[in-house]
Amino acid sequence: MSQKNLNINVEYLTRVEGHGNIVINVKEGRLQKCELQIIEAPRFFEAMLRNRSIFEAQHITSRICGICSTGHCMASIKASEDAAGFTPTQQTVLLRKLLLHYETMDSHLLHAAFLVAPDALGAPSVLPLLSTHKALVLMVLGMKKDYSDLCDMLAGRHTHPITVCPRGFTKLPTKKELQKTKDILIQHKAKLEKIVDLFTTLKLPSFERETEYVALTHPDEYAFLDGEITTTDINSLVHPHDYKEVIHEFHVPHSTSKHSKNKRDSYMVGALARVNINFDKLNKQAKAVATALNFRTPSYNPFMNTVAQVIECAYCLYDALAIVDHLLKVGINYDEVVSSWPKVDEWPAFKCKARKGVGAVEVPRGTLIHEYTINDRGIIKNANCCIPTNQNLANIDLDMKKMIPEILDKSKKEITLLAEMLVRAYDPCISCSCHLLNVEFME
Amino acid sequence: MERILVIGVGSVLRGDDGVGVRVIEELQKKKFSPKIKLLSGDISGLDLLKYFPEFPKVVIIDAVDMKLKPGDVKTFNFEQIKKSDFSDVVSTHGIKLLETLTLAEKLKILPEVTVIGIQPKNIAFNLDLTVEIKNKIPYIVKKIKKVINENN
Repeated sequence: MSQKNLNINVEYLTRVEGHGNIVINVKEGRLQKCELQIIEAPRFFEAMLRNRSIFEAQHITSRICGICSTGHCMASIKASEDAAGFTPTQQTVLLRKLLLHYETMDSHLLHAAFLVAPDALGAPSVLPLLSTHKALVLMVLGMKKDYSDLCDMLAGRHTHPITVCPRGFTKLPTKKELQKTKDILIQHKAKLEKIVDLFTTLKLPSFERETEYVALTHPDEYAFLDGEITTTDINSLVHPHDYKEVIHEFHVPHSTSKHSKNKRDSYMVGALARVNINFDKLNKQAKAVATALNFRTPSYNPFMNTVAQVIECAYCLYDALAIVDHLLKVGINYDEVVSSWPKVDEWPAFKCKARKGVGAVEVPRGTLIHEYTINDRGIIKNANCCIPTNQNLANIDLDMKKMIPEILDKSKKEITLLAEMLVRAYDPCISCSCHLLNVEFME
Repeated sequence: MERILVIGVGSVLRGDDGVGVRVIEELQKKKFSPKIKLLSGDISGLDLLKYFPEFPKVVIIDAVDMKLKPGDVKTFNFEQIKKSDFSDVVSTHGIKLLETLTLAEKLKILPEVTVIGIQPKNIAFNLDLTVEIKNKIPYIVKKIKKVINENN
């Protein structure tokens, strides 16, 4: 073994309200310390939900994250409906699935093309790609604009859905809007092929570490909106109500975010975990992308998370098209429009009593759980939100601890880059609820 | 008349960080020409890009840490601030306003940007602005109207 000494401290998110550092110390060839330090102001969203009605909770929780706001909105609504004993209609479920697909594609695409592709192409960031791959960057930005427009159409606005609430939608898409949606999605088929082509040329690091993979699973579909929890270490299904049987949260000294584990010291959630667990439920287009990108399941390489995201983009695109086609065929039932707050005559539909409700949803970064304890008037008395990034933190630490000793013969610069790429592969969601602009003026 | 986009950026759940949104709420009570578009909400980074090609002028109202006294207001343009080189973007969550403006500049779709920055006092989680910031809203509204009128 080499007698190398190495100190790496990457302060990569130096924003006002939260940041994460990668710290690696190697002494005489032995790894002394290796961790992802998250120093972030506690978020208090659970406290903010206390004494709020289940009919407004989604507006608060969607603001936990500006990228996964739809995911939080869905988990919130599902927890509220579960607590209130309310079952949404099939049309509502389809429209929710459609909206969630937009967010998954938007988030995955941005991550794959703007953060991972530059690394794999040896560029320091997406900016130089503007000269070398201008058409591609413009295409991705165009796709992002489309997702934003699609969200506007279905959810009333992009980022924080406004038409989506417990019971259904306050506005339903017109036939013209559905047709427009279909036209946009059809154009995305060829665009997605270009992204897949790009990824066939990219070389991702070959590091592997087998871990426990956790995701929702569903007997009839590739689970995003609905499903039960399963893992690669247990051969059983866990009802979302019993999520604590799998998700064991704990604190560590180097992070203010909670870490999670199940049977082992860590587990992974996200696209790679989902594809590993639910590969057979993917549609044929997504499976074809997996073949094109040489993805073999199960994959134990965390860098392949991005490839799994591209596979999921294909799943979501073709499933979204199928949903829109179905809605165009059967027509939207506009009688299902709801008001954002229930009217008095709706109350008998809710079986509100003091109890817990859980909403479990697969969002871009993994399994998201919202658990609300309500009283008999639908007021939240207690809340718990399990965020995917927090669940992945312990796994990122252990990945680094295995990877760093394997690459010690590389230069400090290369090691730093690989550590950054590893963290980036998980696309951590670190403190994004605040958009404070931090400005340095030119001297 | 030029089309102008006025955007209030920030999270209303983070106290003074929501000042941009609160200013837009105030502006929404007034009448403007249809060429003026008011946009508020917790809009994240790149999603702003889609608006730029349609608007030759964009006014952004945001809480800005300028190391000034709470409530201090400073108007500046994009040329006056150090650009982001995306070097600290490790997550898609790191692509924010500054990165978006930098990217827009590189893409040559950057409109004339005026930032009205307000030094926040408290960005801890709560729904209210601190008094110092709240008192500045009429002043900020006046400033925005001036920017709009200068263009017409």
